[in-house]
Amino acid sequence: MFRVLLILCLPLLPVFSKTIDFSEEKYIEALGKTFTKKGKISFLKNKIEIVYSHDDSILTYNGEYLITKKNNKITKMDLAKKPSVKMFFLLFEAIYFNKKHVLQTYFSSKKAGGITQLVPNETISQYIEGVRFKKSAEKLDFLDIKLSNKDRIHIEETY
Amino acid sequence: MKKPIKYVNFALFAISLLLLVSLQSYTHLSTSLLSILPNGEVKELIKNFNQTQNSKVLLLAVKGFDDEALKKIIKLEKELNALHLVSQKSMKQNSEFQQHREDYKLYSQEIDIEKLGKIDVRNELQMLYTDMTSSFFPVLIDKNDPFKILSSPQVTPIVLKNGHTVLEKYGYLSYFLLQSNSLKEHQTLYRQIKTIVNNDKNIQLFSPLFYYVENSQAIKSDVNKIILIASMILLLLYLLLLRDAPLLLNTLTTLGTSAMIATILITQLYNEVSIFVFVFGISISTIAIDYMFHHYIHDFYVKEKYLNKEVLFGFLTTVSAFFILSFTSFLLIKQIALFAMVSLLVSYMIFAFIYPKIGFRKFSYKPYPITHHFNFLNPNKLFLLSSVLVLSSFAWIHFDFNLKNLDYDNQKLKKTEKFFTEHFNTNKYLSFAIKANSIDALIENAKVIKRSDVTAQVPLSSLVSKHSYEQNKNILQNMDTIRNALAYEAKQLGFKEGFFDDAYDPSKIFVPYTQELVNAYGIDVVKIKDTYYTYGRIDKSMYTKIVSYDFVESLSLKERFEMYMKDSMDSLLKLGVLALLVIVLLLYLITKDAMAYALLFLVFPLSMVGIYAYFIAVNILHLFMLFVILAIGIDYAIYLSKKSDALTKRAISYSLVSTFAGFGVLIFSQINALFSMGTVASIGIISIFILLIFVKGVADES
Repeated sequence: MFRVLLILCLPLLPVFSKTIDFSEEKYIEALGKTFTKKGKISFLKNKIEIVYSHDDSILTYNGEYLITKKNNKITKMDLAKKPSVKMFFLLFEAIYFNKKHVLQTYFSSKKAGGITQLVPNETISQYIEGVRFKKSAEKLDFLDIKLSNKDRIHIEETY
Repeated sequence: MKKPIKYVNFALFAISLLLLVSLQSYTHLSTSLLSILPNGEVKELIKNFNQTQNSKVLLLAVKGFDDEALKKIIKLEKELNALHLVSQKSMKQNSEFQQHREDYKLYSQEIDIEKLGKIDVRNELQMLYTDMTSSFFPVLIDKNDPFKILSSPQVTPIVLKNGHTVLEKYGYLSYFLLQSNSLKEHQTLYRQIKTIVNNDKNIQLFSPLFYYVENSQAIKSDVNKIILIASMILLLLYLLLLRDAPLLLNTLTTLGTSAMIATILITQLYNEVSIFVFVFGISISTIAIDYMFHHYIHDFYVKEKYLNKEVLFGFLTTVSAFFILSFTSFLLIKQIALFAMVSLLVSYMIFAFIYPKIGFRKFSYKPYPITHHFNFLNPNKLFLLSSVLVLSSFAWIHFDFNLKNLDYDNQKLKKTEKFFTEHFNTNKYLSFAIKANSIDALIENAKVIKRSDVTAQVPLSSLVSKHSYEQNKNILQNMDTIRNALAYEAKQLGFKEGFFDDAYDPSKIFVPYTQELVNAYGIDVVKIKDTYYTYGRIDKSMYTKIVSYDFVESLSLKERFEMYMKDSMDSLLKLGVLALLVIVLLLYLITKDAMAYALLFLVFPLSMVGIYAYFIAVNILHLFMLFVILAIGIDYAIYLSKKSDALTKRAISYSLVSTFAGFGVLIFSQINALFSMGTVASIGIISIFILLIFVKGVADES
């Protein structure tokens, strides 16, 4: 009986998940260099999983922890103690899933020419300087994040 | 001649009322337990602490983590933020303080010497490089301390869901700061908040300020209830037993006058007077009724006689007891004793000297239709038995000096407070104060606490003291090799030129702090007289250790009161014994042969209270009430030992009923302080009734 139920439920699983290909361009001020990477982001129920191309590490964000699995070694980061990392994932998740109340809590926003600009409030201004993004038909065209330490991240959803 | 004197009593009342209103004496009355503590640095310190952000926080929690709960809390946040004296507390820290901490972190935090000795510059930089380039999320580098040799400050974990702070395993949570300062402002704000946040079982709302408002309301309504019951009993007494309207009106006026004059005097002497003094004082004022009864029943108001010796002796004995007690350093008792002396003196003067001039109709004595006499108890045997009971009671008497146990027991609010403290796990923390003669010494003391327990929350410890500055500067000046290696290896690995220029820089100048600057950083520092104080919190298990430092002060009202009690207990006991000795001496002088009988009025009520003490922990108000009951008992002992006739007994009975109206009704109070006084008063009154009815008198004429 249980097996029958499991088989019947299997087709429902993709409803909770969506995987996108992405490319990431990261400018690191300390090095004065830009690094480019590609990978896949899976939005699963209650978690986000990130896998880079040509890299065997898997990052899993579940809202409370960031779990990194590399070479069968697992490290767990408590995000309650790492507000800067937590903010980054919150922002990413809120933009992708249109969580307006989250964005309103931390940013003021204005939209022009289809591009949304987010200005952080004092709570997170010590981490993030500004955000720009564009979405069309549930696709993330681009997301630019300027950090307070002058680092910049540009993420695009690719096909 | 007779006509104007009839209005003197009312004129005195009117003048007292006018003075009371014009001096606004009632505004000095306080429902805060703190008003019981003596004025001084400790009281100021606790008062200041109650004004800090810790005490003025408002916590709001909405059950559940779903969208509906989130929308509900966001709506409530908006409405609460719109209130004039409410502001939402966000996760952000004071930006100036943050900047200062960042600038001076190399001098304020401790350097891990062991770690410093093991640094492999190239390896450390390589790890940093890998982290930055391989991580999906941004990696923040500390330019001042890239090798993390500074002791990292404890980070309070912030749990977020959907970007909102949460109370784990419950729901969403918001913090607010309340800026109300006076009780009036607290009350207005409380009403506004309660209008926005209705009773909803899925919402938890708490602020320590709610105790001020709710307890003050509860105490006031309780006091009103007590005054109403007392007034009804007194009215019944007069209407049913005396049936003399002018006497009733005059007596109530006199009692009012005496209470008002005592209130005016006490509030002129002290800036803040506990409402307990006022209630207790009003109750004591009613003792004076027995002066009126004895004068009235023995026809002093008809024949214009002036000096009823028994009443004068009774008055002097009672006032002597209060006079001796007024020398205590215990503020509450001192104020009550002063209040009692003034109010009794005013009442006695009016009852003894003005009433005979006013003149009232003769008391019509109607004997009760009882033929059987119940006075079968032998006073000597009862005295012996009572003395044995009093001595035995020392075996079981135990004391409770926790001042909080005297306050109104606000169960509902305590439950909500417990809900939050258990969720935050803050119930294991205790607050304390640190003191020093200068800001720099205060910072150094804060650092000593932090070194004793790294989990201690002492915001001031993150500033730079002269000592920590010089110590760290010395170490930093010896780090040239590491700084050079850092510059070289960073260049080799590809870091930008000059990126680590600020790392381990020994050239920062020490700038001493001022109180204004520290306060601007959002850290509470107060100056009381010539001493600076700041506050901190520490795990309960560490508390005993840190309060042993001579620069740490306890902020616990319970502890403070206990210390204060210990200090004043000796003098209070000495004064109590002295008061008893004076009473015994006066009794001997007044009653002579009938002294054993008179002493029974001391020992028997004492023994009954001793039995009661077997079931309870005796508090300070039980003790004080006991002294009062003894003082009243002695009045009656004097009257009866002089003249134990039916009229005297009738006068005493009426006085006892009125004393019950004054003190005994406190037994109906919800406030433990008043209830404690009411129980002892009721036991005392019943004991005296027993003596009056069942004990053979010395000169029994009835």
